[in-house]
Amino acid sequence: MLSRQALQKLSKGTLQVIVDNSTARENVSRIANSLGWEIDIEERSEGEIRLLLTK
Amino acid sequence: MSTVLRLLTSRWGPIITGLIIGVLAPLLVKWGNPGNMGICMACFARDIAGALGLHNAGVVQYIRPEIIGGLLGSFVAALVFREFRPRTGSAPLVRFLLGMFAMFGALVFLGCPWRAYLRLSGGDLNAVFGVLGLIAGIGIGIVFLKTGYSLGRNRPAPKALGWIMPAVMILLLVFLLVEPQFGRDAAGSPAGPVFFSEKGPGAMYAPIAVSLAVGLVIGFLAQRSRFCTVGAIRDTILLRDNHLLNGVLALIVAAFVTNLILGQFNPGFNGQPVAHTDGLWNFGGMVLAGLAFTLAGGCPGRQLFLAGEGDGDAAMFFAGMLVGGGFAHTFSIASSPAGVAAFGPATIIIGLVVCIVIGLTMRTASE
Repeated sequence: MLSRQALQKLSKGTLQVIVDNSTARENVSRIANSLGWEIDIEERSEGEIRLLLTK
Repeated sequence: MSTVLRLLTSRWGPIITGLIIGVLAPLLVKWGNPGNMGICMACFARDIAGALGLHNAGVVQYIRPEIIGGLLGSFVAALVFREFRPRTGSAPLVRFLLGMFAMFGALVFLGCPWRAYLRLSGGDLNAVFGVLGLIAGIGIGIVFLKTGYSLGRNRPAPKALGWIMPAVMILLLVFLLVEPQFGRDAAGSPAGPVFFSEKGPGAMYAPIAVSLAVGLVIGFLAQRSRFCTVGAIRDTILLRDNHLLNGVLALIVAAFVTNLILGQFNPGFNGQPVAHTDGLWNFGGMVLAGLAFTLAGGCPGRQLFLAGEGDGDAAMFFAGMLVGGGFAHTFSIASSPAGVAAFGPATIIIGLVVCIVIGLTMRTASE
């Protein structure tokens, strides 16, 4: 939800989103995808996933 | 096999899950479950509440293996795919309350969102009011989500916490199979501690092994695909994302076709199984349920499957549903096929006020 608001405010650039579970990873990826962002996923320590969104 | 498993986490996941639920639910009715009640999280939680003596409505007492299977199926899927992550701490008491009020709303309508869709696909037109109410309730919830409502984040918990709900489900399964009895009271009625209906919907059930197996399959699929009957509508309105909605539509279509084939499709308002024809409160009940589910983050099925993954907050929601299922009958809130009960409408109003207060007041505290 917050990620989408952030993505809609930015017309382009880079946004880093840190999520703590795979459901959130899928949700954020899906939203970013539908808004036309490139996604780079990095699994960090246990229970933390970093999504790098660029456009 | 691995392709199918990968499909489950794609956009096809909810559709596959919805199709399979849509076929299995009417089959469960064919095999013995009450009409249009192949799967109903609210009705089944209420039946379990009755079986455990939390209410004494003699016609709705049974330990439903679909619930046991659903949670355990999700538990297994989470373990296999390394998503078993015990966690808690996101306003559990509020979630308990939301579970209770969601249950009151659902039992005034006579069904959770799953059953609302299943009733629709069986031709029960009263469910139209229920589904409209559900959409309205979710719409109200979205207003709160947009204005900063949040129950806060959870925290990782010790592994043992995540094993509590699976253990409870195993215990329920033992109760179901052993049927412990402490003899009879002076009037000759069973004294419990576990009660099973001798007539009514609670005495209608598919064979235990079948119900359990269906529950396991659905729990497994739904854990993988994040199938959610409330998230479906929420995401469509809020995010213009219809991937969960496709799952619900698949469920309705599959259940409709299966009902047609089995001769279980009977369109109309009157004489529908375990339903009443009071349109206003069919609507009102689901407004409350839809709002409470949205504030809690998902439909009762999703809560059950999250509890299976180790989410202690979802487990609290489910506990609230069980206790609510008890109160709904002892306080004369739950409807019956004869119509709404004495305190059903008043409880809906109170529930809406409570949920709106929760929606307005629960904000993420700054740390």
